[in-house]
Amino acid sequence: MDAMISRPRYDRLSLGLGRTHLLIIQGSELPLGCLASSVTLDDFDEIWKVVSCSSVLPEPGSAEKQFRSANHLTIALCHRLSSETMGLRVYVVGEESFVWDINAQCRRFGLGNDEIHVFAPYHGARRVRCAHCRAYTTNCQNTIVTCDGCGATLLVRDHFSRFWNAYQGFQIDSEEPGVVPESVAFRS
Amino acid sequence: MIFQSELDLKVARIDVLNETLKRFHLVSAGGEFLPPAPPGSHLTFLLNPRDGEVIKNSYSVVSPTLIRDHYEIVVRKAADSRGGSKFFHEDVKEGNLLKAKAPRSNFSVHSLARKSILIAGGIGITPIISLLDEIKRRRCKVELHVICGQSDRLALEALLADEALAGPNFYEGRNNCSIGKILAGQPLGTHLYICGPFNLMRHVQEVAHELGYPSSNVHIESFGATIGNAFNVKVEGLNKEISVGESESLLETLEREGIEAPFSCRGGACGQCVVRVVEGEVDHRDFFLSDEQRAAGNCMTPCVSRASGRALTIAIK
Amino acid sequence: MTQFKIDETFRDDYTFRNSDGAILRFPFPFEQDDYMYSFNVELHRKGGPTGAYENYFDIDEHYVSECRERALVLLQDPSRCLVLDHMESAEWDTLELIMECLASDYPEHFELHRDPDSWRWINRPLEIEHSFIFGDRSTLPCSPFEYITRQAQGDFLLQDHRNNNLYIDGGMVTSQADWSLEFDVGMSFIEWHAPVPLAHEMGVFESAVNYLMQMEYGIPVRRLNWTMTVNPRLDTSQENYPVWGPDRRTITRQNIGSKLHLRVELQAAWRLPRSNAILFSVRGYLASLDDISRVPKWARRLHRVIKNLHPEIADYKGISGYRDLVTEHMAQFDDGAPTSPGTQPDTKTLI
Repeated sequence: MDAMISRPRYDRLSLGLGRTHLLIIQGSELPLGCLASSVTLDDFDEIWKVVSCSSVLPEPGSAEKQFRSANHLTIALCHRLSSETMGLRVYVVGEESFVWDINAQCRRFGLGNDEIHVFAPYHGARRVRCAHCRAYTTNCQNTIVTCDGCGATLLVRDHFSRFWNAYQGFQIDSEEPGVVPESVAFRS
Repeated sequence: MIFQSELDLKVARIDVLNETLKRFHLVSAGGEFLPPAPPGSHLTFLLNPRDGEVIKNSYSVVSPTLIRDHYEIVVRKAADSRGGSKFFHEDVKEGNLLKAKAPRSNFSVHSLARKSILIAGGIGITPIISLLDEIKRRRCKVELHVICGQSDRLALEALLADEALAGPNFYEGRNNCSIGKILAGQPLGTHLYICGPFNLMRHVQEVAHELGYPSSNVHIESFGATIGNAFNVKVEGLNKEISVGESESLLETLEREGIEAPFSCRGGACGQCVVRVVEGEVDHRDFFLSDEQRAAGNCMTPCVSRASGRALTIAIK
Repeated sequence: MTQFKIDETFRDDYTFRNSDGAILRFPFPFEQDDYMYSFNVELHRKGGPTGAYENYFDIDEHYVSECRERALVLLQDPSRCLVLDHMESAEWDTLELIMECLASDYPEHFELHRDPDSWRWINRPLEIEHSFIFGDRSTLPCSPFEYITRQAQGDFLLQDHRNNNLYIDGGMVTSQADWSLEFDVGMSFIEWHAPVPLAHEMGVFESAVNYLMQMEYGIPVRRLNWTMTVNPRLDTSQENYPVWGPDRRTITRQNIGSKLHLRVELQAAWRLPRSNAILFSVRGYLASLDDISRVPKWARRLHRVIKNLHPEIADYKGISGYRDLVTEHMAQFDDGAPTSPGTQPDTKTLI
């Protein structure tokens, strides 16, 4: 399958002009190769991390904050954005569905294309939205999946919606039941 | 109707706002509805101050964008008038007929703005007024800041009276207004709209940039309807040299001169109007020609492209 | 004055038929004997090769039935009309544009009375009379965009123009050729067209988006697009692909003439004044191969176009499964005679 132009391509993060630079990482460490060569972690004013641990506390006033889960971080981020002022830049590193989730939250609070930058170093597994029943099937590894909602055999297209944060799946054997192409693993 | 490109307008009423400002109420000469005036739009008038002389002048429409039965414009009598504002102030009377092109706007309201800050310098308030009207219809938060000379303040305040805006901020002179103070601490999703003297617009742009406003959140209205440079064109086979003005395309000029030229989309996309370039450099602005064709420099789309220099020689197929 | 066929169906028993007059006014899409993607744009002015081009928004004999089919689709799937919140200004722009055009082009069917405070809209074919306040959505039974596009033929899309790009931020899409507005909503123009083969490499969409962004209001433009549809079915949405997809396997030598339809979209783009958005009107027309065969020039040309069509385009349009049958069927109408340039039928009567 040829890559479609709607499928996100990610550039390594570089710092634009801004008053405050906030880096959000899904994980305790920043994977290698996420930052442009001219950028180091010290360039960010704040770093927020999802560390997957129930006992951490985001320390007030600290430049580095730890969160228990993606939801835990998102709640704090929304609270922060509701009173933020112009000049903030947000950078997000993580799985594809995580970075587009954070992106959508930021846009809800008025950040635009130049104010949020996302980078998904591993985007092998896909979140898929069924064109017919609209259910989501998550963590799809291959081009052919069974829809969690209606049970249809879906072909996962390379067509990605930032609005739904999902790839599109449609019933591949609609015309001839049971005629399904070979399932292929996604390249990351 | 919506699909009129040239309008015949009748001056229905003239209000004197102060010594240098007049407001003109214009209705359609035929009595029908006028095309909607987009927010921030201007009318370009084709004026005949003296026999045989045609000048083009653009003035902002200040009436609300929902109104379809008349337009209002405000004209300041300029000290160094090319004739347009002098003509409006001294010669135009109630009942006179004027020709204008349908209103066009270089401004538009950003649909995702969560707050809008409008900054006007002097008579630059005029395109801001209809913009404000559209922003308020969208129930978006808005602030208006007007920087003007002492003598204009009353008149400009009167212009805004209908707007019933909670506290437009007036500053008498640039020195009494800190752009930094206005722009700092504004919420995410703030968009700026600026119209006024070049230096003011430049200054606001710089301050906004320093504070981290992305350039897509800063909207500038440069006055007037200039499309590009003026240049002369010789058409091969016709013993004629024609002049393309700043606010018209080469294709329009050919048509005005009665020279038959093919066209279809009039936007530089379809390639129907391509002509051969015999001599001269071209400023290509189309989406049709390939890079190789541009480099070869022997053809152009007269609907959008212009001369880079002062002259061109072309041949029409 | 158009005589409306008021009880045609576009599903189940498929009673849709074109009258002779409807066939002659069909906007046949092929300018020449072969087809490739191109940027085939022209100004959308009144008048053209057939009657379909006579007015800004074409109303024909299928109007009442198509509006009923749209209402039925919306009952089953309300999200076929979807407009993002920030597009309300564009919704009113659309309502004003369509009402004004219909009232002035078809005064026998539509009337618009604008008093300073309230507007009165009369739609005789659909037996609607309603007074409302322009700009106040509480005075309409639904959103302004849904209200007016329920009363117009064809699909409608709203493109927001911001950040030097276009975004598909709304639409009324009940008769599309195998795509989903709901999935694509919010995409940029280029992302929205991602599934179309070949054209991206050709730079078609980049040119298109740049062209559209410099459009001025009052100067609409148009182009044609086409595909083929089994049965006169309007709702060939991606959402319902499992419902209509099996039909593609039902084409036979015996039924192809009446069952297979050439489907043409007369797409017009309109800059809207206050919102600065761009409205696409996608007016669809269906003609069976039997209908096309009654115009000799069109029959010859359709045979040649399908025979030589690029396989990737045939795949994308879903034609590959029955393409050979079309070529074989249409060959009987192609005597090899030359065809005149342009899409006009070159005849006033049908054979």
